[in-house]
Amino acid sequence: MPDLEQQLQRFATAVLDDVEPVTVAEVAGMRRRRPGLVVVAVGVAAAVALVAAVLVVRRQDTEELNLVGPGSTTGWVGALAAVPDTPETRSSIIRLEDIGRARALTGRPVLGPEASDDQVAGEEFLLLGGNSTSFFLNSVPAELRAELGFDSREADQVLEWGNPPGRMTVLRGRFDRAAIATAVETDRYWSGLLEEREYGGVSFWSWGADYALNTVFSPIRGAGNSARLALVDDRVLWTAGDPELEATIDALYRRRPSLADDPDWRLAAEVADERSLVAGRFTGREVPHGLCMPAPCDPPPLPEAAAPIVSVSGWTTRAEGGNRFVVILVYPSEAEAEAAVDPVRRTMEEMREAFQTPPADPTFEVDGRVLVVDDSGMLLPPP
Amino acid sequence: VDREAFERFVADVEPRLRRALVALRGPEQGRDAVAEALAWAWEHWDRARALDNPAGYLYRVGQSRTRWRRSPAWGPTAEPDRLPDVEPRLPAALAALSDRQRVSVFLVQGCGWSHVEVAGLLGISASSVANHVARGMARLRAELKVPVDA
Repeated sequence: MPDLEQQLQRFATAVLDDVEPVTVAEVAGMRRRRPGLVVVAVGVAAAVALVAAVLVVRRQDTEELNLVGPGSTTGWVGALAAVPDTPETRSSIIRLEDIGRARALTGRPVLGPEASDDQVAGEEFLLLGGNSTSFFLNSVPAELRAELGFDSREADQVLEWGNPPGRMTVLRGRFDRAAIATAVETDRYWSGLLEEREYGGVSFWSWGADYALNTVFSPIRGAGNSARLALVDDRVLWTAGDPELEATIDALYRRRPSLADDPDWRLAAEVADERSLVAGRFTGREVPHGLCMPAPCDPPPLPEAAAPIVSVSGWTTRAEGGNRFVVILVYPSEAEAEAAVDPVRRTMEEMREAFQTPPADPTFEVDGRVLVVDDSGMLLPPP
Repeated sequence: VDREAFERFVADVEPRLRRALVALRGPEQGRDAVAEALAWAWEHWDRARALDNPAGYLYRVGQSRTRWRRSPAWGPTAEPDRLPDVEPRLPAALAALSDRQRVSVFLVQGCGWSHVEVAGLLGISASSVANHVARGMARLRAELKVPVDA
């Protein structure tokens, strides 16, 4: 038998030999067939809408938002309840920034309506260190309010996963539906494309076809990306296509599993809550586990022997000690967590060398099947 | 749509897209995903022709538009004895890898793509691709009980 690499070459060749190229005529034919399908689709949609209407009426009595459990409504376990359990979310980096927790840990109040844009942006920087990759925290507050009817004063959590065009943002906080409705209906850039639609009993605002780039340019949406905006209980859902929005709504209403239903992901989030993480990123088995701050970076990967099922890499704020770098690694067993300590320690030393950070004395604590690394060496300035 | 320009676009993008989406979804669903992605490009031609990385973008469109379909068997559609020099458990072992590991292994080891080419398609770093390939190959060797130096 040839070696594995040669077998893979022969296998790939055989697989691809079976697949005819897709032709332009075929693609054009797909496009032409669609109007004919509309009639069928309308009929199917009408039937689905009728069934959905019945289900919605029943749901009002029987279904509740997936808040996971007592005490978790503002925690990271509660945040994971919005993330549908799919191959795509498991292979995505999931970023969470907990503005509400940062406010609580540092004793800073929510800014009022009188605060200027500079104060709002400055407060975000103070609380989260300016490392966010979210469009929401990198936009000008006045432009956000004008286009979407809210800004970071109303937000307690910013959760993001997926890659464009399927990126999903879920904000949790104290949002005013009337202010959002007024903003999106009077927005001078996008109101011409606005539609009000409904999925599974949740109404939402929709601009353009899934993932389409439109001719409109605005400060928040940049080069004209389509958008979906829904307000579900205390959450704002923001994305560019129906599939991500629908999956997230289904997860919130427990019509499909979320990552909070997975015991490994849930455990990682519970430890993140216990350790009061303020910002961090979840990575599952599909993603190289980075011992990395939430900011983009390319850290040395963990060796296979120390690769966890789920990891959370982030930081927390302590009044006296400044911000501390915390990594939470979930393994199948306590023995595997113990065995991972030395490889993780070595990888962190490599990372410290690569990032030229000062010497530190990280602690490695195994609690059941979780390894927690707490490191002052990646300090951010205290707020 | 400028048909000639679209034909040139398809000639350039389709082969790479087909390899990548077949690696992701298997032959049958992968081909459907290519057709869906190119149909999107046809419908959004102004947007598609301006893309910096059309294969990478359309890969995600194809991935997204086929994500809810049930996966058929992943592997060649013909009978297994057509490939006497391939371990019969290889298709199942590949199917059991994570999506990114399977796509990386299939494209790098099976189709001879560079790590940089795969990275461009998946929107990740070349070092992440190398990591997926290394882990995927390790899992295949373990599953097929192939010695590391074989």
